[in-house]
Amino acid sequence: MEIRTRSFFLLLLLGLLSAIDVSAAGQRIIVGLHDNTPLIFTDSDSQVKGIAVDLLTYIARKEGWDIQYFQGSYAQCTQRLETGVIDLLPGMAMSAQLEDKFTFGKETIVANWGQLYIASDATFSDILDFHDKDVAAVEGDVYFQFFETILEKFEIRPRFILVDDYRQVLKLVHQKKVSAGIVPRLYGVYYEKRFRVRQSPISFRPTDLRFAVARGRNASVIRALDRHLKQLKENPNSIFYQSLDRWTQGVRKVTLPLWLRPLWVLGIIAGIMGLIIVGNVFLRKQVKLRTEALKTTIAEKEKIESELAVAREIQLQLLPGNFPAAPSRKEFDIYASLEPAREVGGDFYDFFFIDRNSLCIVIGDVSGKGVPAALFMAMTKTMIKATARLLVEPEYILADVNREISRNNPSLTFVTVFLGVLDLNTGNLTYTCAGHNPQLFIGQKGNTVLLGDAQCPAIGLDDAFQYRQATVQLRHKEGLLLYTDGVTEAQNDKNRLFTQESLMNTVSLTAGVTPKERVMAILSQIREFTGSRPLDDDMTLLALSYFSPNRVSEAHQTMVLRNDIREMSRIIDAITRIADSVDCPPVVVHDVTLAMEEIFSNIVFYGFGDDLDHNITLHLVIEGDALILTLQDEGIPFNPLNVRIGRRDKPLEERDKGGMGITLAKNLMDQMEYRRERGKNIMRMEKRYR
Amino acid sequence: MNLSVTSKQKMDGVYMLSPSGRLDTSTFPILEERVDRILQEKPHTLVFDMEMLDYISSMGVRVIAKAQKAMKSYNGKVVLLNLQPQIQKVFDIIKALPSQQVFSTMGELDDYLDRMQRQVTG
Repeated sequence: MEIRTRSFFLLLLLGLLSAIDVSAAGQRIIVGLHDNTPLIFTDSDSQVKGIAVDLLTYIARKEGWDIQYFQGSYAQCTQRLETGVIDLLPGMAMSAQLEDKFTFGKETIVANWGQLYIASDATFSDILDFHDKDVAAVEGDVYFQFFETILEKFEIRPRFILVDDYRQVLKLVHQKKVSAGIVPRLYGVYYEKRFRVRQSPISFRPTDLRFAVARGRNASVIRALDRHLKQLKENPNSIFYQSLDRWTQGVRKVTLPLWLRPLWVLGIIAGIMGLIIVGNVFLRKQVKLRTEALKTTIAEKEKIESELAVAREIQLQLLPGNFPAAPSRKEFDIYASLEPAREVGGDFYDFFFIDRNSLCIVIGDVSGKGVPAALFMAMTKTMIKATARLLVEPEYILADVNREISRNNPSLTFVTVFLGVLDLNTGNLTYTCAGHNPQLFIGQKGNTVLLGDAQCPAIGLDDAFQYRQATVQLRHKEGLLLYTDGVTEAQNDKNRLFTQESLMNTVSLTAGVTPKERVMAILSQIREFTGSRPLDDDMTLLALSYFSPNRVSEAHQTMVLRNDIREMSRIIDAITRIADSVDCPPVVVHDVTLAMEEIFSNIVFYGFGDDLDHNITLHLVIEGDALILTLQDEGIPFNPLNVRIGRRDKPLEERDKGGMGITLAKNLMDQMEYRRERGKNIMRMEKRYR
Repeated sequence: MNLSVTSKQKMDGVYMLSPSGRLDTSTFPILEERVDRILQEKPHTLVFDMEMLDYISSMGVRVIAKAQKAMKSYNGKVVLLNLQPQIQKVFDIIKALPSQQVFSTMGELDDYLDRMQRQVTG
């Protein structure tokens, strides 16, 4: 009985012990497995292998962990780690932004960096050549992200083909489906022979690969890993160095357990030490090489920039830039400004005479930016000018240029153009708008109207496009504002656009100014709007004011009036018209009208001494800044200026009748002269309006 | 080129005429006729409210002068109210009215009329 009891307790104790044992051995750690040879990967026999696996197997045995691997892409693995589906991810590259979400081990498993791989028989010339080329990379990969960012700074934009793992990257490089692929250097070294790919000189972002856990979880695991790693690194004979040796040489060799060959221990230690030294030297050399490569790249970029500056100079010289452009021509005033967003751009403007009386004005915007757009712009501008002199009509000019360009335009670059031909005699503007935004007609008071007719397709896409033209009449002091979409789409810090409405509002405040002042006013308004933000697109403005050569006859009129006071309404109309043609202030119109009424009524009532019909001639003219009115009548010789003016200090009701009107007229006009000539009374009155 | 005139009796013996538009060589008879009718009432004060008047020529000034002359015989007064700048300019050139007879607001005019009233009654 006693023995039975004892043995029962013994069994119980054993059971308890084994239970404890099971629970300890059963701390299950799910490890994310992504294909990152030689750190961690699955081989052809579906065996999980790699440096991290060796280490984990060793440490798990020490700690009594049960390691389970869960395969996925790198992106999936990081996501699973974050959500707690997996506990641990080996080989995560440290970066500041990841540290919010993950806790990294203190000990580095291995140092790695990104390497650009190319096909073994490909030649590598320059990183600049990768612009617009296909480059394979793993989505979410830290090397890829870095590479993309650094290239963006050089404005090199390859097309990235994103795949799930590094194997596919090298496969695509090997099959030449891409020009290059981004893999970690260790992975590349391991597989470069198998995939027959080779390293390009481009390497970047040295990275410490470490174990990582989700922040706030599994902190004890990471501490245990650190502790073991530290110990292993201190011992040159440890599994750590064995594993490194085994996986980073690119040759898979079977290492026999060292304790079986004690004589080799010394040699191996020395070998490993040597390896570390060689590795160090190799790393330093690599860093030096890459630094040199980067220096070369930067030097080349500077060279390109200086060449771009020269290109810009040449491009701006293509545009007429001397203002005033045609000081001898009084019919128009013109001013233009082009502000390129990048060194060279696709905007352009031009103006030139087709014949003595026809001024051709052009504004355009080539799709795309940079050197290709600038070359296309130069070609288009030259072609338009050459064609305009032959074909004269906007619709023919643009149809011809479109045919010429479309026939040989494999890149399908297109150009939007507004082209107008202004008849300087009549003010008739004939225009065609090829895909360009509607341009602005500007009235005398700054009012604007969109020139929305004759909207045709942009140039360069189809040689069968049809072009039409429309006509608008510019009168004296009316004008045009041509602009590109860089003006209306200028953006501020809040990504708001300047808009056409703001442009029209700004123009409305520029009544009566010169084209240069108008362009400057708009530019300063836009600068105020965009603030410190640099231009996103070229910005071009061209302003033109038209001055009718016929305004001399408009501002000069002779009318024959009857001796009837009702003729005053015609006189007032004539004064108003001539005053408007030179922008007289309203007060001047009032004063002249009143003075005229006083003198004219005097002639009508007292000038002839009979009740018969007589003619009175009125001549109105603008001379300099003065309005001059001359009245002629064949009445009794009479100089109203000699009328004795009633004494001003006398009460109003006692004043001389005619005198009051003459007093008014004399005071309202700047100058009055009377003469008698060939039987006529001639009264000349002058009023300055400025 | 039209003139319209409204008139009202402001208080006992005070009439107000408001010409609106252009008072010129063609239109002055319209105002003259209205003035003549009111003068038959022998008002002690005749107010011309010029707020709506855009233009006045010497013939227009003469209508006002005529009224003043007619009223002077029994110590009546012509008063002008709300002169626009171009109207003021004409009166300034002609120096047609003593400034105490020109008011720029209805309030000033009312104060003036009150004073007159007190002089009459007091």
